[in-house]
Amino acid sequence: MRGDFFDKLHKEMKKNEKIFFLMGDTGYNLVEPLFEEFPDRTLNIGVAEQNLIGIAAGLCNLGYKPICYGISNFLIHRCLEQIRNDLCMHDYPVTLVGTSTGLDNGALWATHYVVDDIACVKPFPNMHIYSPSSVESINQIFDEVIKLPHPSYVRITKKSFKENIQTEQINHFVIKNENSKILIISHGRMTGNAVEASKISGKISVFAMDKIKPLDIEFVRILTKNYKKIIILEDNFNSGLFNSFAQIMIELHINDVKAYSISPKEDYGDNVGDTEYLDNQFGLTPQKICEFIEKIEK
Amino acid sequence: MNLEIRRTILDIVHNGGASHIGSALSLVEILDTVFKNCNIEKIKKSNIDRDRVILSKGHGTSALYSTMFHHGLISSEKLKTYFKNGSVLGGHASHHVPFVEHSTGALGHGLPVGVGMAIGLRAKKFDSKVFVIVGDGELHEGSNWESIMFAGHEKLKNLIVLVDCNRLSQVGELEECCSIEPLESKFRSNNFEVFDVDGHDEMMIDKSIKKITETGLPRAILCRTTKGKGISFMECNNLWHYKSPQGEDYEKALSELN
Repeated sequence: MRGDFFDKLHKEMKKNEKIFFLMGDTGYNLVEPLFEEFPDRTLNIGVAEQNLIGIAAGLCNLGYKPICYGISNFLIHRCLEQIRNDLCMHDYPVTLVGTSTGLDNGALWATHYVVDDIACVKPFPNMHIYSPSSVESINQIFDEVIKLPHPSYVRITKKSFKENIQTEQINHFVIKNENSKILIISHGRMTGNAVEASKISGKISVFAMDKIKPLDIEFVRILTKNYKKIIILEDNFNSGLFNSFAQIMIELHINDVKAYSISPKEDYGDNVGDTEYLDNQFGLTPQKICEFIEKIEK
Repeated sequence: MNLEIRRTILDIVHNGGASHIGSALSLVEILDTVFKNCNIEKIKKSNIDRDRVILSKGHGTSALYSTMFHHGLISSEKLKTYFKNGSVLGGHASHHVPFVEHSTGALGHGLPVGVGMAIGLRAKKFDSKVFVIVGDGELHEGSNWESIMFAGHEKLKNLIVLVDCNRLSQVGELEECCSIEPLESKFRSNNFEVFDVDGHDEMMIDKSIKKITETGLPRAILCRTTKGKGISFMECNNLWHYKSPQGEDYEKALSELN
């Protein structure tokens, strides 16, 4: 998925001289073509993310559209005040592209989990948040953020998932099972797990809500009209999409829908394991998702 | 010593019931000299190739707005609204005020942003300058050193950092809290050209800005100043970091500046 993003970026930089690529010493074997072809519009700032964000803001003052690339946990958590004050307060069109999401980094352990990033930046005015589920979704999201006159955060999982259909909207049904009474709404890497769970159970639909902020209220209205049991599945604490979805449900006075969260427990844990191990621990594997569905069916 | 700008600062801080007058009074000659070195007409027209000024120690905003007023960048009507309900002129620098490049107030932000502007100007091949004014206490923030290191590495010769070295932070003396010295060798070792001057001597600051050198390096001007400069009972007195000059204090301060 990261490779797909960089392919799109490379093509865009050829025709759009406003794009300025900045990175915090991350992107080995991905970014080299950009640095070779656009030496005046690429910079490796080094392991200094606060400086990275400030520089991006300064470039916006000159009319540039900076793309900042880094590992999500450093790009977001390390420089939260810079994102708030220098980007969101000024409504600068910087796109933060964070690699690794959720439990992607597995046994690298908790400093590298990206499970609380969405809640960190969600309250900031002007910020747009995207969590692409698939290669197709990356393309849609890239086309949107490159024109967006606001700050944005795109969190890209290390895993690759293809829908093999051309999506027309960023938020969309991945599986629409006419007989299903239960809907899974997911984003990012979890959509692949939801699709696998759907294949096993045969009775759930899957909707990718890859644009997390601003949340599409109309979709919340439609989905809650058609499904009375909705699971929000995410590799993020439930302060992410679940929290936003529940808020909109309350604001719309929707009280005939049961909304459930499948997400990592709000804890950094004390043991390590690969992504699959951690998914299993937190109930995020297709099998565990099916077990959850069986429980709420009763 | 520039009495005119100081009187304006005292006036707006007094009328607004605002604070941070000590931090503002140490900045006067630095800001006035910086704006004298800018092409004001380009700033007024918001030309893309204008010089840029960032007051990173955003709490010195009464000095920034007063200096901008004296350089024709803020009207007297607007200045009178400083620190009052409904005004855009608040206690920290705001980009909602025309010609203020960047909002500051949380320390350690202005320099990275200024470095970004300097990189942008260089990429567009403009020869304008970026002036960033930081406080000495502000240099405790690590983000400054990230950008000092990077500006030196990139040889951003269009970047001029002016440090308001008034030696006092909020609670006490920097030397007692956490020394930032020796600043000269710290900047120099990060590939800066360094000038160490009396921060209330406009001619010395001006010379440091204008001096033509062949080094092609960013410039740091260490401006040795006095917090509360110009009003005897405020000088080197941290009470005036927060206290607003009212009543007899105001009358006494005004008489000293007259």
